[in-house]
Amino acid sequence: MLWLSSALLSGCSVANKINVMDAFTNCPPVFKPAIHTANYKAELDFYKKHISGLFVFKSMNDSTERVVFMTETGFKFFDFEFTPHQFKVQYIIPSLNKKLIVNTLSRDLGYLVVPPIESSAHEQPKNDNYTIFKFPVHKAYAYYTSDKRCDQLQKIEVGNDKKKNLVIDFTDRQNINPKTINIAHQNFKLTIFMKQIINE
Amino acid sequence: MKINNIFLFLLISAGSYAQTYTPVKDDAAIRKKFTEVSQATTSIKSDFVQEKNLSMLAEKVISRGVFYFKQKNMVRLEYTQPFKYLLIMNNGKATIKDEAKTTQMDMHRTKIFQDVNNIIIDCVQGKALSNPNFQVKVYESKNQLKLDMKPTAKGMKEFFDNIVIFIDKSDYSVLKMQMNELSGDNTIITFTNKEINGNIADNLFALVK
Repeated sequence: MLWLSSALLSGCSVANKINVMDAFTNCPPVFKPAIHTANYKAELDFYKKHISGLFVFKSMNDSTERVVFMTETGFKFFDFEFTPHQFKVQYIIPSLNKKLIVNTLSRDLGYLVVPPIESSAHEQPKNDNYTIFKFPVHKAYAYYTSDKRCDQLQKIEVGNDKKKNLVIDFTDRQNINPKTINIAHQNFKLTIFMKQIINE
Repeated sequence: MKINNIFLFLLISAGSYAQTYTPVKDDAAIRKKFTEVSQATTSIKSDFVQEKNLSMLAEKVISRGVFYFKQKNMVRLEYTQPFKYLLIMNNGKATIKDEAKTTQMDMHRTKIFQDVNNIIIDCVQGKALSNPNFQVKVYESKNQLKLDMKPTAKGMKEFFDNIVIFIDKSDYSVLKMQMNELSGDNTIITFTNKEINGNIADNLFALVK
């Protein structure tokens, strides 16, 4: 009721800060981690370089999220640890241990495992097909798009209203996790495509 | 009375384990046998199961496939489940084919890749004992040999704590390889349905374009 009245008061074209309880109740897929303990087969393309490997996402008992990337043969590239307010490199091979690489990867992967802060949500005006939430992030905004019924998180975009720097697409949520994830940077050539693998 | 009971219990328990290993003091005879077997092994085809243990996450990643080896140094590691992945090593060059792309590599450029490749080839060929980059301790049980290999060379030493290879005494073939990393993670590869010296076509090792 509160958000409805404030929406009416402030006009259709302006995004409104909405009541926290309403945000969560209205669209749960946006406010939970996109991935919860799952394994993905991945292809990373950075300009002409191509690496494939496995991502292991693990939701730990102490509420931290761990993301491990390794080759199919078991050679570990890195092990990242995420909490809502902190990021830590548990392990990384020397050749990847460069500030720009770590910052880019941790930011991209962080979107998959650390949900946005409910209290900072602005819901965008609804259209017929989607529900979109907008959140301030470091030097930009993150836009979370869900289907109209709020069954599935479909997309996360980072940038501003005019231009997006990063687009993350999710397809076919199977039970808890999306079947595929595609992370595509728009300003430089880096894409990470992941497909869920079901372990024995 | 109590001590005797405990002793008896330990004796019975030890006997009931599948394999109890004792150190081999003079391994000259074993080394000789390994050399004979390796010279006589021209090809190997085997199913494998790879178990990667991420200790800090308490997670296991299991994959399966088929392993091929052909003299002198051709290896084909073909993962079939739960993903498709192909690694072919042939005469210092490698091809990796994942689900999206095929990549060529010159293994000489990457020392650690070359070292790991050499271990695999040495292990399956029975040459592990003579690999100069490792200090090897040999143990034996009723049906198996256990080679405990500690890396001495830089690169491998910074990554692996040790590599343990379990050998079937009946034909000196590799049953299992366990690679223990300093991080606490390990990778265990188990080989089954081995076909030794069968006819394996060369084109299985062709560096795919």
